[in-house]
Amino acid sequence: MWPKTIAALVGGCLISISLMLNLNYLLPVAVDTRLFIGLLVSFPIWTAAMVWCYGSNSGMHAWKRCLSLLLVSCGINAFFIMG
Amino acid sequence: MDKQFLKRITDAHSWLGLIISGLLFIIFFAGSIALFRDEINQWSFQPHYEVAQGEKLALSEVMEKAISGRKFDAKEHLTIITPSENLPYYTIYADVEHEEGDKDYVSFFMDPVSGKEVATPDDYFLATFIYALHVNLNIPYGKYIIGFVTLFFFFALISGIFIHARKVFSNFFKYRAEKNARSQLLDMHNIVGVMSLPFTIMYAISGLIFNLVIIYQIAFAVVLYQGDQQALLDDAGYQAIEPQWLDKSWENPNIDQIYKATTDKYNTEAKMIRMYNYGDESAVMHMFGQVKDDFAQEYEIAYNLVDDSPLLIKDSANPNTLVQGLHVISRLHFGNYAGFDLRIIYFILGIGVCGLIITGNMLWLEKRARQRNQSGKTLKFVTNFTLLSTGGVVLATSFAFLAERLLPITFPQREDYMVYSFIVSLAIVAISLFFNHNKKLFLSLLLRSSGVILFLVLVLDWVMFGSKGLIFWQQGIKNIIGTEIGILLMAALFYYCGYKLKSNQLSVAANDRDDELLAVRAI
Repeated sequence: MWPKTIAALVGGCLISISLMLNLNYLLPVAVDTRLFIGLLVSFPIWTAAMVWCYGSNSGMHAWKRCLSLLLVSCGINAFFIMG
Repeated sequence: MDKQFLKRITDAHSWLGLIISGLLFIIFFAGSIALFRDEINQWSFQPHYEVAQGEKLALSEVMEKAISGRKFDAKEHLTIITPSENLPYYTIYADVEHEEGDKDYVSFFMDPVSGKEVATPDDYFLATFIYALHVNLNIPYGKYIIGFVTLFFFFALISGIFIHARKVFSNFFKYRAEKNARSQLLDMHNIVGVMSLPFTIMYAISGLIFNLVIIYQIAFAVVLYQGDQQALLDDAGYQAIEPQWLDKSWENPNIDQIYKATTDKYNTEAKMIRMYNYGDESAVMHMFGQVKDDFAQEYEIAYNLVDDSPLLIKDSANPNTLVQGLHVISRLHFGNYAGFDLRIIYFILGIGVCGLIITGNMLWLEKRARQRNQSGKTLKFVTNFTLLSTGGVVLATSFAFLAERLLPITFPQREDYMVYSFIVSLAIVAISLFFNHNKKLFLSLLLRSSGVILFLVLVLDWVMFGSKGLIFWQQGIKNIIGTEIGILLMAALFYYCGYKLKSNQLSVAANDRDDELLAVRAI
């Protein structure tokens, strides 16, 4: 259970941060509203990622899931930051 | 839904639930009591002091008296919390010149009529201690520990929904009364979990925002603001006030006029006033308050006292969504957006979640006890841990109430001794666990002892202060009697639960003896 927990905590946190950053670039609202929406949905996203990790076969499987999603989300982050 | 997925989620639900159960119980138990921290605080100190009658001092006079005779550091802050229904005194925090390592401020309650120092807030630490247990366990970095416990709690809630989703409607009114302990526990766990779900989700999300927001704050500051933390704080509506000291004395600042204009504008007195560069021409007066009859609208306003020009105004006319949103979350979390009765409902739900935690642990124990390969040491550890973190914490809290009432107010560092009473009683329970083999009887003893101690607190109240509580009631201060009623109800509840537990255990033991006798006779 510990390997899954590490993936859920670290991977889930990174996924939620990355998705939050994308949301911040995409939402067509004022910056204070974007920050508030980000704060509200960030923890549910982290928890959803945790459910995904704990639902995996093993710690390695959980990391694979996290990294695959993180790769896509970070790619979009890079697109926004560089663009 | 995939059966394997459900099995893994169920395993994680019980494993994580067990790990966080002790701290989670403390969070919910202390949090439920802390809903009434203002009332408990007044119960602690008010009987020792009279409430002054007469015309209140003007704010400018309060400020002058607050710094009079003290080594006030004018380049720092003077903070004043105005009297409220639960605290009929000004609370003063004045920054003072100090040696390195010494305390950099003095704090005290000030009589609003005479301006005399009444007491120091630290002397009456019980309510703050219980609240701090809820927020940060009274330990360094406790805020982050609580944050991660809350994260796992949120996971337990969501995984609980997955586990129970198919039966949520069909089993909602199911409560099996037959003598199968596991069925009863499971039904109780599920029903309390389902009924309190909106409340627990709100608590989990708001608790996470309070305790772990720093993670996103750092990420956003680094990536979106290229390390400019101040720019992020500006967007988030937090404006720092840092006036430059001019070293020129101020001339007749309009403190009282500004205060009155603000009170008139928002139809409510400011809750807190903070002065920057007091006495200097650069002085700034910063006020915070709640807009009356509004769900969560607060205002923040600051004036340059040299020309009464506004430095910042944040209210419904100049809104910041993040600040307003956080006010809403805060009001929802603390249950202070409606009357006293709402907090009673919050309290019942909070104690219900404590029951959810205990039944969860008992389910784990019951299941593991039936597995042959389960280590006896693990079961013993979990049983003792559950007892200590539930019954032990209840008893320690009762002792803290007793110490708060029993320790004389002239006793130096009485707040420290109150905290010691909590820690020592918890330690005694931990040691006693090793010598008690019948854990249910021991839990019964803990609960009955807690009930007796709380009852003793009430007796002490009446011995020490007589009918003072009734006099306060007649003066409109109802918190003393109200808190006593609350303590009486909790004492009765703890004693009743302990008594029922003992009766059940004794009847089970008698049945076992009868069965053994019948078996011997049959042979």
